[in-house]
Amino acid sequence: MSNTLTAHAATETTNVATPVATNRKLDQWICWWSLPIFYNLFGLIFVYLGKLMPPPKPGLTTSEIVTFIQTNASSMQVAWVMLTLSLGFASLSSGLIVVQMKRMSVSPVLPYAYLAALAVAAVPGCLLCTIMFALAAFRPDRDPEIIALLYDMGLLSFVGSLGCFATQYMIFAIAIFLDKNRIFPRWLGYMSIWGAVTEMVAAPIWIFKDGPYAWDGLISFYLGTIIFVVWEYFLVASLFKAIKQQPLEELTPPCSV
Amino acid sequence: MRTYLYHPLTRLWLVLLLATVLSWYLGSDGPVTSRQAGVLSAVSILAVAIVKCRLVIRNYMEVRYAPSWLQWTCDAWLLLNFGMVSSFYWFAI
Amino acid sequence: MSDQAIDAGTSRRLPGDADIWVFVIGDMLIFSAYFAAYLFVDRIRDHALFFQAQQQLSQNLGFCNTLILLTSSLFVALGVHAARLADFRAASRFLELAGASGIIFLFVKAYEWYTKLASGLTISTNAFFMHYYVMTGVHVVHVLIGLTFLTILWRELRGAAIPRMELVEAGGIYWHMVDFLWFLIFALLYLMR
Repeated sequence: MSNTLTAHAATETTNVATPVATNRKLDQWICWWSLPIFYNLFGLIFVYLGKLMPPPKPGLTTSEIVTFIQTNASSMQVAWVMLTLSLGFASLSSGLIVVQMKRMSVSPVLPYAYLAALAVAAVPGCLLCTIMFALAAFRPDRDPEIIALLYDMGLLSFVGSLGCFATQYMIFAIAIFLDKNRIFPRWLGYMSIWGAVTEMVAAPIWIFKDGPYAWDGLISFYLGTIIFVVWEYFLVASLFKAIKQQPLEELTPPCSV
Repeated sequence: MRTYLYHPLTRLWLVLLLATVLSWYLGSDGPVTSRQAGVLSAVSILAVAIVKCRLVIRNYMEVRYAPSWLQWTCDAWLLLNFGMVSSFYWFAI
Repeated sequence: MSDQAIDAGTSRRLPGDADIWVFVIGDMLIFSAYFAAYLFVDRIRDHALFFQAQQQLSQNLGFCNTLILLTSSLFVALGVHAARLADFRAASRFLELAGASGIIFLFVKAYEWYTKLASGLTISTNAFFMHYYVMTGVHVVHVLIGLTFLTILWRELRGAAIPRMELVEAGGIYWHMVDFLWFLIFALLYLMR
């Protein structure tokens, strides 16, 4: 068994080529796959079913908001149930990133801080929005003013939960720049800085109800989303490469039988 | 250290300084006499700014010694911005 | 032959490294998006309002800041040049001057914002001031990132036995970007009416 592993160490290519029984990185690959699956699901949920991307206008009146929720209630109900069930899987990708970050020549403080920042960020950035809109979709008999409040709370937390994500980006960037092992490419660190600055530019959404800096604005939403998608794509690609290139010696060996 | 001041880079600084003064002068003109004059003034200020950017890019950032893809990319960006802003002033005012 | 050409070699060479150019070109495009939003989303709707709002900006302060920043760019360029000639003391001196200029820029900017706020012109006063505060604010964030970068370069020049030239060049490239983006912001917001 160990001979096969040594032979594989230098020549391991993709997880597909290695049989499941001897693929020692299977656990990481499972986590990696959660990323493309989750983000495609996320797109389906927020764009097609939940109708929140692109977001509806901030300046709607109460009755317009109630109409928006009512017309989309059935697809929204599906969307939010799906998200509630699948959001937990984001922890797989967080764990994966932490494991790869721990290979960096920096203190484990940084991957742990990243994990903490993302765990905190997921609450307003995804979960709160889900709950608010699920409430609005499943309780149509509620007072319209309450529905309007849920609408505001949901979208403001979705687009406006900047600080946690900005922190997450900056921790990632700092780790990459300090890392002498070059686990992730430098330019991904620079892209993380774009991400952090984009979060700051989303701050005006609390003030403006229309224009480019509202929660559906050209800059605060569209540019922000483009930068996020680009960053996420390259993160997933870099993770793939990092897992592939990880030497087998670094993995925890199974206890010998 | 003073010897460094007698360097082409410092001459460029002087050029940039004068260009800035020129654009400041163009921008502080009195009330606009006609739409044409206003557009001309705005586009010339923009042109000076773009030229300044290009000088910084090519000389301070040393893009003039860089591979041609980088030179083209930077010039394309300058053209994009010049085109976008000047066409706005030409058509939308 | 100028020493720049000697420095760069006779063949074409990428200044800095590819990573910093990804960063810089992306940032340049992002700022173009801000300019596009300023013009095509808001200014196009109410040119008169923008024209009038611009009168309330101080072209003099904008001009001062432009001079400060372009002088800091000179210092950075001379610093990189000195580093190439292995004159690391002069190089770090130039970076100190550049950093000091950057800090002065921030103070002048803070003063400018203070005067605007004191006259009751806030981010929600009108569309022009929304763009003004956001654009100059994002630029200030870039200046701060640039100052951090310059500090890293300064430490490299003073501490490392053989300072890494790609790092020094990369920092310089970023600073020059901050400088020329300001040229465009100055033209667009302060001068072009």
